[in-house]
Formats: sequence, structure tokens, C-alpha cells
Amino acid sequence: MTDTSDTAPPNMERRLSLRILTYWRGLRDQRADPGLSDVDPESISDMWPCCLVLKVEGCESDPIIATCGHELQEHGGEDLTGKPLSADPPQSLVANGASFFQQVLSKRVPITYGDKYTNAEGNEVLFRSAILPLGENDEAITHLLCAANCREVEPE
Amino acid sequence: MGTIVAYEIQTYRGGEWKIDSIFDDKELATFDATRMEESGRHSAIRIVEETYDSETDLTKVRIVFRSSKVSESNQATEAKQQPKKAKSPVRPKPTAGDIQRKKTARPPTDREKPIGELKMFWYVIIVGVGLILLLSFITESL
Repeated sequence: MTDTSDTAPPNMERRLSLRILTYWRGLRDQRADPGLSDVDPESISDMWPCCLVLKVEGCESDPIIATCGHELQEHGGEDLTGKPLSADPPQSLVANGASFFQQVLSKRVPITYGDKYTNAEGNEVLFRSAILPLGENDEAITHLLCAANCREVEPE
Repeated sequence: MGTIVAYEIQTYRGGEWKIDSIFDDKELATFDATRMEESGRHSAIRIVEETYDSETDLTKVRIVFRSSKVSESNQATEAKQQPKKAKSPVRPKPTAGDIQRKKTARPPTDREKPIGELKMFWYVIIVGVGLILLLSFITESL
């Protein structure tokens, strides 16, 4: 499972969506949004495998997958780096976790969302993801940082 | 489709409320707002619940969380206002005497102004000297 909360230190916030949001707020400081260049994968090495970076500048309707963490790929996806988001299978964590990116673009604030989907094996999967806007110089959003994790619902 | 509920964490910056983040889960939003409050970086935080009804196309909005700073500020404002509010109902109606006092409660005119102590002193001296001179004149003429 991609639930990294199991490996989190005792006093650390366990929920991925809150941890990535805290990280994003720290990068933002007084700006509207932090930039992609501010994101340092090494400083969030515990979360980075669950992260996805989407390039939206010039492709707002179907963003391009710039980076995809390996744990996301393990959940029904594949390495689609450089390809549009729509190319990802609909039963994957990437497709579902990033499904509300348009709302983030219109609201221009981070959105955290949880839901369920049925994966390719027919199992129900509960997921939670957070999508955070990235931009340069307080202008247009250029990228989206998405973090998602999930767990399969045990069949009865 | 029914209703869609979203929870907006808003922070007070530059004289207005700005959306910080949006959650689909109230518990998570409240937890995050509390954490933000504890960080001490924000002057005020609140959570606005937005309920969108797709059948009526209406959105209901209500505040479901206020940071304690906002509450404390509100309480302090209420506390300041309360004594003023309490005074007005118990204030007695003005009597005729009060009205009379009010009427006379104006700055005194030059005529009404009491004579100053220094002026009084000189009056006494001048009148006294005058009386002495008058008496001495009378006694001399006798």
C-alpha cells in the first residue's frame, strides 16, 4: 500500500495530504504560490514517491505528466512521463487522484479530496489526494503538484 | 446528483478573508485549521462550509469554525460594548430640575464670572485708602 503514514515518526503528521499541504505553505511564504523550482524532491523524499507533477502551462485542459512517483505507478498506472494525463488508465490512482485538477486551476488554491474507485482487478480502492498550484512570480499557474495515497478495501 | 459540500479554510490577510485551501472533509479541515492557528502565523482563521444543491442550483454558506483569536477579539469587543448597553436602560429619565441644571450649564458670561481674588484685593485696598483719606479730611476740617 502507498499509505506512507505507517512509516511516519511518532510525532509527525501521518496524513500525506496534510503533510504536503504544510510543505507547500512553507514554500509559498508571502507569495500567491510557490514555483516548481522551489520544490526539492530530496527534502520530501518520504512523500516524493507518492507525488505527481503536472505541467499545465499551455495545456490546461489536458496537462502533461512531468514527473510521476513510483508508488503512484504501482497502482494501475504506468510511466507516462511526458504524456498527457488523459493517457493514464481510468482505474488508476493517478487518473482518480488528479481528476479534480480543473477546480484547482479555477480556484487557484490547494484542494484536498478523497473518494473511491474500482481498480483493474475489480477491487474497491479508497484514496485521498491533494493538488497544489505552482506558479512563478505570482502570475499564472504553470504546474500542479499532486500527492495521493490509497488502500484497497478488503473484500468481505 | 444531490448536494456537494466543501470546506474552505480562510485566513484574514490584508484586511480581507482569503481562501487558503479547500477540503471535502470537515474533520480534516478543522484539524488543519487548528494546526494553522497553533502555528501563530495567521491573525485569524475560519472555515466556511459551502453546500451546493445541484437541484436548486443554490449554494448555502455558513461558518463552522473560528480561530480562538477571532472569538477572543469578538468577546473583547462585546465586553467593551456591554457596559454602554447596560447603562442606557437604567439611566433615569431627566427631571425638571435636571433640565433646569442643563439649561444653566453653559459657560458663564463676563457679568456672571466671579471677581478674581487679585481684583478683590485691589478693590479692598482702594476703598480702604479712600475711606482713610475721607476720614482724615473730615477730622482736619473739624
